[in-house]
Amino acid sequence: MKILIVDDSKAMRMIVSRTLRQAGFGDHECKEASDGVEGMALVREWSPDLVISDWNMPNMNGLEFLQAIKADGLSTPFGFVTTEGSPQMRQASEEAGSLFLITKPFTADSFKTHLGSILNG
Amino acid sequence: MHFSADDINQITSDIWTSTLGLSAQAVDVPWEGQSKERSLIGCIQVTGDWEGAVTLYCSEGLANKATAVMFDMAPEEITDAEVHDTLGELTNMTAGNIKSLLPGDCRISLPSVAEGIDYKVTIPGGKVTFQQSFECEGEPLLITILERV
Repeated sequence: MKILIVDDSKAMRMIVSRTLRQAGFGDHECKEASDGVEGMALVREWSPDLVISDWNMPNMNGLEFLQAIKADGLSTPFGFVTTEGSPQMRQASEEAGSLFLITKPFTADSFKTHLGSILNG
Repeated sequence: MHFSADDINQITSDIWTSTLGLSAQAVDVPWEGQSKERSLIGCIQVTGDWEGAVTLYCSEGLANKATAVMFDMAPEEITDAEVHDTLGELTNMTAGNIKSLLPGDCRISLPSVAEGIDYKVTIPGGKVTFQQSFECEGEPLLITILERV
């Protein structure tokens, strides 16, 4: 499967990639983008099977990115990995169509729990 | 707004352990202003029902160690941009978790990072409402919460 990792921090993109490997998802093909604008271009060109996105990013934040995907009529599975997990943000993410919201810091176990059914299904 | 030392210590410990595999222990040492060596500071502004900022100060040595772990590289291979990225993300995680302790609706900014020797960071109208020193890998780390009054 093809996984798109979107975060404005290169360090965090590396940690997400490493955690995917630690969670047993290392065989999947990954590409990276640094904000929603770059991410949207890759969604259109590369058609990922899963998008894992930060929320708080310059140019186009994660929620706007998810809304842009939906506005394009795409049903790409999408989830957030973000520092903030307030009830309001969880509700907004669910209403926009996000499948999960994992808060930072995270563990390989939390990736297994949230991504297992998507990547193993 | 009162911040519990236990909450901040737990947040800090979880971030440094989960993300880097490093142990950050709370200590009773006033790090800030003690060292005349080069250091870095990450800052996130908070706006909304509570307004202020969260800063994360650390020695250049600790910032370099954290970056080497984060990028899985030798310390001599890392760049200044990678060090700033790492400290910015550690500050972002710290502020994001502290935001969950705040009342009402708040938003956090993107991180900014500064470095130098013998400098001071302030926000206009802000006062220090919480400060805790930590030791990590024998190096200083300081979390400060400033509230705009």
